[in-house]
Amino acid sequence: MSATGDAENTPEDTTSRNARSAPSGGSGQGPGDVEVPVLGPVGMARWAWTQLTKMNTALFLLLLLAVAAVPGSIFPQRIQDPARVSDYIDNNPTLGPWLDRLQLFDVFSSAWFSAIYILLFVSLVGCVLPRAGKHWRAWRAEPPRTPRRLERLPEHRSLTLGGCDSAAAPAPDEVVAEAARLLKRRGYRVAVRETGTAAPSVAAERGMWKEVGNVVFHLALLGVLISVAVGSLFGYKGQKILVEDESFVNTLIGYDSFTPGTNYNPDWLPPFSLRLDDFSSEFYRDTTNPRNYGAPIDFTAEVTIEDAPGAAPRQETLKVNAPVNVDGVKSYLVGNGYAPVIRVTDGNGEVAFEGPVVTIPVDGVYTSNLTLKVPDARPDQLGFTGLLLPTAVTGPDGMPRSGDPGLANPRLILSSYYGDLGLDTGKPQNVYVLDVAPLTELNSMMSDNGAITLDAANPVHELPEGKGTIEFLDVKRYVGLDIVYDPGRTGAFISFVAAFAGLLMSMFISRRRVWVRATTDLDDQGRPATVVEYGLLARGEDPRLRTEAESLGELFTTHWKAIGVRDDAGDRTESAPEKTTDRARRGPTTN
Amino acid sequence: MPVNETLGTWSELFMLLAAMTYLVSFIAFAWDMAPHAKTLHAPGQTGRHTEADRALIGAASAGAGNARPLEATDPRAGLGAGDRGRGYRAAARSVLAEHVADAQMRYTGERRPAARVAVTVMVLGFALHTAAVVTRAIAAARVPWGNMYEFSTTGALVVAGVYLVSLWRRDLRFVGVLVSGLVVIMLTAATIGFPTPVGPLVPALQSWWLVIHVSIAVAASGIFTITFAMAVLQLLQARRERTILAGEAPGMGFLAMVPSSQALENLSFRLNAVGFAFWTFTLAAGAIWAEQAWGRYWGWDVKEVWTFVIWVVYAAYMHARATRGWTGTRSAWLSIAGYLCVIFNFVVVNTVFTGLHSYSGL
Amino acid sequence: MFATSRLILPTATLSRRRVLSLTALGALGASLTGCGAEEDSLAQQANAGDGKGYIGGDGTVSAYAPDQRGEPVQFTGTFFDATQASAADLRGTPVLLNFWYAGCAPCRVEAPDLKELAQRFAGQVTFYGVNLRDERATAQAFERTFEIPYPSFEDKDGDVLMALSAYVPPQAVPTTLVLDAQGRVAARILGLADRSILETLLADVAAETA
Repeated sequence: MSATGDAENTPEDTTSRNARSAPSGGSGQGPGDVEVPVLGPVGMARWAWTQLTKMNTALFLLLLLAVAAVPGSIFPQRIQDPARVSDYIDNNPTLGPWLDRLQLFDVFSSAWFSAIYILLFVSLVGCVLPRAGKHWRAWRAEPPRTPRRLERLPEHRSLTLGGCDSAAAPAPDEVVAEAARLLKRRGYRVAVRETGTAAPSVAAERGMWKEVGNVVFHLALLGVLISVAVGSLFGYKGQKILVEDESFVNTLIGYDSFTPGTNYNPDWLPPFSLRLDDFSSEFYRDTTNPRNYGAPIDFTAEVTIEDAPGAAPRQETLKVNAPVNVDGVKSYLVGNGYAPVIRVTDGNGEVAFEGPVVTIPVDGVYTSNLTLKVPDARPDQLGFTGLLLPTAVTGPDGMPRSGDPGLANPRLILSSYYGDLGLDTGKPQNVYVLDVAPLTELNSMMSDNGAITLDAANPVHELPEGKGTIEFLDVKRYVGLDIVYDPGRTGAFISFVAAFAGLLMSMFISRRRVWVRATTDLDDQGRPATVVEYGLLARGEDPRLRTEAESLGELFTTHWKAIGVRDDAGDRTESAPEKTTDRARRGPTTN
Repeated sequence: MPVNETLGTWSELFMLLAAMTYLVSFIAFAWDMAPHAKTLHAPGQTGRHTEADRALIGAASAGAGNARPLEATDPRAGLGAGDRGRGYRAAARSVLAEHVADAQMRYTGERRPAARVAVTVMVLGFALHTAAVVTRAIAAARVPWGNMYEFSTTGALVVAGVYLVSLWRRDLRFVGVLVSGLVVIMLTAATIGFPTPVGPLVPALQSWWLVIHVSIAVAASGIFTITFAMAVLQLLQARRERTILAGEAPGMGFLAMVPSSQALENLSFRLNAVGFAFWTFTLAAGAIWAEQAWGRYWGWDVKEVWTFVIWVVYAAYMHARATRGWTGTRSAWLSIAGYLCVIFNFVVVNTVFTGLHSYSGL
Repeated sequence: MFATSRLILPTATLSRRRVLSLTALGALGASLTGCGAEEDSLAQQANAGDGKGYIGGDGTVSAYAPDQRGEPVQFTGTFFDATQASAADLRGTPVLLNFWYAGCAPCRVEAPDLKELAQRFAGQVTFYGVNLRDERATAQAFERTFEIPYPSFEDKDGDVLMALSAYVPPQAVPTTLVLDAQGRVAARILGLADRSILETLLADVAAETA
């Protein structure tokens, strides 16, 4: 498996492959031929391994992975929002449980998705490790033998040295040594061959780091996977809503919800505390630009952190995109809203509830849903639902609505109920939902007495039937925090950097081989001359092979200018394919 | 951070002008292609060519010692297979060479007035387009890719820019119709589909990562747009090449302006490799940003799912080139599939699905 | 690994009969099988998306034999009546600390049991509540409803919780801690406390002191 295409099978490399096998005399053995499996368990295993590590299989698994990921964007996912999944199942009682059985709400941790990526990674490792070994050996070995017929290579040039009257033609051995020196300076590793013969040559190769990059890229992907696994085994994630002046303590009891890693023990939670001192939001206030008036432009939370029991408190500023870090546990500002401070006095005249009530904003102007349960009101438990409008205005339809996200004219519009809230049974309830079915309505938008409306001008409302009073005292801000610990974070980052570096290396380094051969010949005037013939071969995609051939030509020409260089007619301007055609027309070549 | 509305209005005007200018360029590019379509449709001429070609191919294959009579099959089938000699392939290539443009995509001396007009007009359109994007950025006092309108228009600017710059080196006027057409579509979609007034950035987007993550994403999308156009041409050209080798009238004469399917494949592979590297970076930069903003570097948000799908599809494309039986037409289809995912990720995921990338702020 | 940390049977101090009786309670059996299931229960709670707004416990009991107990706890807290108390002030008699808040459904269920046990063990074990979320009026309304005879620390600022987390972290609402006379954690119950188990645990620490 390779990111940039292994040379073996690319169509334009067919000729190269033939050329490469030319020295050994044979040609045309197709790569990747499947061996017939030997029966028996070992044979079967080997056969399965061969199949799995084949590029075709890897490609198939890759495409399968892409397809398998798609349902994860269609169905709600538990890792995103478990509440939406519950809703979906409730709304689709027949289909929902089936989808759940097929793990379509947990696509990315499902058995089938895992199977695909595990197979893919096995395939990757099975493919990359042998390649790494092969490359290691290739690196330690000298550049490959010089092909007998250099003109078969995709790029081929020939120069004739000598011809200036003053200089005799240099000896082939000398020329090859010089060429080797020039190539080495150009970053090639070189091996001089067959010196002392009539046709000595130098084999040169560069771009060995390309394959290293390729291997690093693939292994780094494995590193990413391992880091993700470490994070999901030993990390955790939790949520907490924190009203101003409240503190969060990093212990399980302090969380509103908590998702531990598979192997995380909540006893390990390092106790630290985070107090929300102040939260402020800034909205866009340019009246000349009414279309964006009121858009949020800043959320800032001032917090006090105690890193451990008894540690000195420190002040921090928490913003979106700027979490606070306590020893690797990061707290993120992911939400905010208003918490009106309400006091409920019960029918007996006792204060049954007093404090901030967290509301859930539903739109950009912070129209917020409020649910308040007062289980300690007597003689009857009380429940309230309704809206907080931070800046109440009257809409064109005469209905109140929020005109701005800021807190200019906060108003509560509530319905009230009495009866048994059901909390005393011990059954957990959604804090943000009031089940009104078993309750009796006191006020509502629909009832004759209308909804309860509370604002600065009318902060108190007496409930009907002597059930008590409700008072609107103040509005506080709250923040939604995500508290996350992910021990795989650093590993994932390092793996990514390695993967990206590997990718760039494998893409932008060109692996090339050059062979130069020198022979003695007679020039057209019958004088002895040295013919320098050289050919280039690319492994993998290399659009600049021709440029390199031309650069080498210039290099050699400049170097031997003193003794006279003639560029042998022919191949320079013609393109390689046409050259091949030419030879093909001539019939089998005799060399 | 004041928003300058006057400048914003100017920007919208420039954008409109740019779209109209690109439209003119598109028409000129099409005009350039049209006459070629006509001349090469003449059956007599094509027939003559073909007979000569056949003779040539026959000679070549005989010369190469290949006794098999040469049927006009897909030359691609011969590539890599052992049973057809190099001579055949070379001959087929030289036959096709007369029907397609130069593989190196160099400028030739041929006079193409319509194409020259098209390029000139496109440069003008690009200037207007740049003015529109820059004034928008100044008006908003930030990078011009904070919402879908801006992402589309800036993305279209990158497409046009990459295309015009590559024209400098190579004669890629043959993709002009597709590129200018796509740019017009992108601008129209932005203006009609996601009109968004100049505005400030919501806190979630106030990060340096917006500059890095999104600009690279725009660049990658721009590259994928161009390779998509080339993949479409490659498929058409491959089909035409088969027809030519079968000795039939090829049709689609405008493709004579287009290099061979092999040359297209090679160039689009190189571009896609760069696009893939960009996309890898987009994905990783997004992960780093997500870690900073949302507390996890990867959470399978809808947008993340599709970014991943796109990455995997292009990874498959990269591997396909090195896999037997997956080069040529199949890899072009992969490139097209990848681009469709890019479009889906941008249009459908942003508008239909609810996710963290919905640009609606916190 | 979790089983040992979660449920260290106090065999060293309990008589054989008592161990048997504990086991016979059945609820303990449930908590034994619950060992290792807590992660499931946590994951299930996370996946339920029910918006209940707190981490529930399954009644898991951890009891520590005297030689296995940690250091005496240290904390300082403020009661709703603004008086202060520190752990040192509470030494000498065993202490029960119950973490609660008014809107928490299981807290409301165990409140009557706690009230009765507080009365039964009056003079032997001192009871305190630690209120995590409520303001004074709300907490007092709860105490009125259930006629809670003992005071609670106001712990919205988390001081008591933070200090105690260093010893045996409370991991659910409600959590009940039993401290021995030296102020060391002798037992922890996560979630709704089973009355008989709690009674046994209290009797044990009371017996140690006597």
